[in-house]
Amino acid sequence: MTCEELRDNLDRYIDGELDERTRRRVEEHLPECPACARELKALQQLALATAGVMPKVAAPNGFDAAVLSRLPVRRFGISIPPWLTWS
Amino acid sequence: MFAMGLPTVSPPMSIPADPDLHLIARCKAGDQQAFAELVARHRDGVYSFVRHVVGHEADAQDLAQETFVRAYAAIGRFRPSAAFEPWLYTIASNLCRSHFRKLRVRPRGLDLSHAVESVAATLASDPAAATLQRDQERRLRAAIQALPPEQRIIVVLRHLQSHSYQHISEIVGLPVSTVEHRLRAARKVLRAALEEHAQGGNR
Repeated sequence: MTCEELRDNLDRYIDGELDERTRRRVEEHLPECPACARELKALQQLALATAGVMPKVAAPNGFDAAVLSRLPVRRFGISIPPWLTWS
Repeated sequence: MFAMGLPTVSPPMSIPADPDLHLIARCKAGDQQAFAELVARHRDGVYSFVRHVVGHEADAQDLAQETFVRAYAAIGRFRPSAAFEPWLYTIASNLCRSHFRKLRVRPRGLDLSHAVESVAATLASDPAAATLQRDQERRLRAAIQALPPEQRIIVVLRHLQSHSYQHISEIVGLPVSTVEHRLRAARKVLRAALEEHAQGGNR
């Protein structure tokens, strides 16, 4: 695998999207090429940092109640929007 | 909140292995409590996705709530052969796009007051290293928010939720090759933003 081919596959490699054969070819090339290894490290660091600034956050308190209050009321199998109900 | 006195729906003879599908079957039979359970299962994921895409807390709350309201309205059309989560994220993703179209400008600035600090910055024992880490994170967040919305949605689906290219392609309705192209383009921009900062800091 050439350096150009490797770099074309690097995003797929870090994302686990390569088929087994291509992944092996990437892994054969990397120990022999410090420049590509540096490129991989930079991309991995970016991916880690990006995931790091995107933590899963909890929905605010009262989220469920707010959703449920926006649902139409179903009566007799028919959805009635909230603005048409008087309860 | 819920219509009281709704008839209790008997569980189907065979309960699907995917709990979402079981809850959806109950929703289709008119059981709103089942929908409440679906909301509870997915609210944090959907909220996080929308929050990181729109970068604004109040807008994110509204869009995430609207995602579930639309899902409820369309649940009758949901096919049990599909997975619920990608379907839900398709709704969320379309609402985000529509939100950006309405703004007709790049989205509002990132709401940094509510940004969650990464574990790395919090745990860094060296105060100087922690400051550098926080500074880099601020720059990265700003660069993410400056990405075109179509790229940002893909970056968030990949990095927040580790969706595969195939899943992302199904959610955003684009070919896998386009998803990959946009992800790579976004990463180039993000990397350049960080490298520019690093070079500036070394001057």
